[in-house]
Amino acid sequence: MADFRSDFKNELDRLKISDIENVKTVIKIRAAGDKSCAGHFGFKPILAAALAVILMFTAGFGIFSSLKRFYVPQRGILSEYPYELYAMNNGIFIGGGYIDAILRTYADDGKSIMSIYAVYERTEDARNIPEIRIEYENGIVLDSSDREKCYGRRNAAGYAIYNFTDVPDSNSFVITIDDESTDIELTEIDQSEYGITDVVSIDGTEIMLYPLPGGGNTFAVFADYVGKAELLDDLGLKDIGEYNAVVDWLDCTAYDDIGNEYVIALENNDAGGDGHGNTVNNRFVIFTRASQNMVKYSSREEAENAPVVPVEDKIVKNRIVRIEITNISLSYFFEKSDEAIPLCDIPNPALSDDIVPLEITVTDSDILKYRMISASFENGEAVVEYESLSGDEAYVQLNIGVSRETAMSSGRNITADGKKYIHFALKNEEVKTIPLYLESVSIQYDTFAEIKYK
Amino acid sequence: VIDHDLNDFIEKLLEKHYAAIVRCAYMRLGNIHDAEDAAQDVFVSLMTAKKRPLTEEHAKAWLIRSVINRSVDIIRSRKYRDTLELNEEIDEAYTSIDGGLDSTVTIDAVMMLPPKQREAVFLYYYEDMSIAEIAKATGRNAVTVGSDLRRARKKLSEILKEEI
Repeated sequence: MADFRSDFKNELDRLKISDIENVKTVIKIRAAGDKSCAGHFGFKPILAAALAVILMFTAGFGIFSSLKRFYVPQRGILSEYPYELYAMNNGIFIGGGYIDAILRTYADDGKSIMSIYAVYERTEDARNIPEIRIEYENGIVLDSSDREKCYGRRNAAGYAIYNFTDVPDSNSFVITIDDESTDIELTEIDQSEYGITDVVSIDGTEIMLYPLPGGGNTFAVFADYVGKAELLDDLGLKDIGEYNAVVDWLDCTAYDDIGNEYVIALENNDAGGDGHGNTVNNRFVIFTRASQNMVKYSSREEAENAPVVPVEDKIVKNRIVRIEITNISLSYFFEKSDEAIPLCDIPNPALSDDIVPLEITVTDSDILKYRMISASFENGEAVVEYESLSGDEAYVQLNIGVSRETAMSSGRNITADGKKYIHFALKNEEVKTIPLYLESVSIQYDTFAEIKYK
Repeated sequence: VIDHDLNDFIEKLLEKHYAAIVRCAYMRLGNIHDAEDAAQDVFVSLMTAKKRPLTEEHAKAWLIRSVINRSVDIIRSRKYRDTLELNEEIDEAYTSIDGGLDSTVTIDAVMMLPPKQREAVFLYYYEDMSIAEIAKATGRNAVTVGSDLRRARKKLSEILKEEI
């Protein structure tokens, strides 16, 4: 045991962690940027911003190195900062992938990050992406091998992102990959073009159609970070699935607020012949009811005149479920009601003031009193753990969601047949798995919970 | 707690616990950059929170629990992708000893455990916390933590082919 402990400690101690002084500064900058915190520190926001800039200069490059994570336009951070989309005059092949769009994001201090997206057809190609070098007319060089200035992430789904920090404000440069140089001119894309312009009626449901101007992968970039969320929101749809950014650029499952299922895909027309749809006018978002009724439109006119797509009754019939945990907001599935709630938005229980006792009423059973001790969402399942307040039961673990196998193979997708599983354990640490058709689950945090099944 | 005291308090917490909080997040996320993001998010939350723990003991438990939850948030985030670093060598996340390629055998083994078992192993073996302390810090039942540790030891013994 001692060997394991010491080996484990030694290995973990070697984990590279940012210098603590830089981290302190980063946290102060971030906290100072927050209005509520500005009060704590006695700063006015503008002074806080000035402090951030001063701290960056005084702390030197090390602090910028720590800050770059803060700036990188990924995972929602983008929406907090102004950004611009650019199309490239020349698309570039890069190690089996393709680049033809960039995104530029501006941080609070005016510095920008240029994100270059290389999209790959095959995941294995993305595993060996080459270094790239960008040279501006004024002699400034950005080199992806410089890890201080190029923060990159590679996506297992098949695209790579090079994020360059400290980018000159110029739209002309030469990009060199594997000794091959290409002149690049960037053209800013008017994002207003991405607005909703047309409404199509399918089976009595009005669906808004997005035209997709711009070249090649531009929309992939846009959809990845902005477009999908906006699109779903505008449509009143709730996305519950992963999407495949390689095959269709945007392909996700979504539900409207009465439980109808949609598959949303973006046709990646290969009219350009390069496998990446590098043409302008013939890509459209496709909306269908359920995947078996996939409908593709090759033009907007065709979409507008599309025949009615029937809704499959069985999808609605088997649509289960209503799981609702208010306050703690654990997870939600869908039912035939007016109030569908987005799947799984678990707040931070540690940040709530107290854990409040919870009563669970199991239909045809006794009332059991439990206290929620944790809530999480893993591998497609919402997992809530309770401990007993009223008896000698060890604890209850309630897992709500798809089976692990399904979750692992399809991300967070919920299967359309509505078959769900509850793992329920009483007086026993071993969790029993009871596959069932869940009719409804309604857990009112702080008051009661009702679980019905058949 | 007045402003300058708060600054001092959080600076001390950062100095004393930041690395451990990052490692705790790493146990869940398996990615050092995400782990640092999670840890920094938690400290920023601590600075901006209207109610915060007032003692260091409570603060450590708060930080552990918060960073675990933050890590879960990151994992389930819709924006999250299953990503690896551009320079994919996992060893680059670690400081090499004598410039050689050093082993991460135990970490690799721990990473094969379910997330909660990983956390229990980390807090027990790295942070030297008792089961009761882990239960308190993570908000879990002590019996559950104990059984997680038992299962983790059994699995680790199988993987590492040694008694844990």
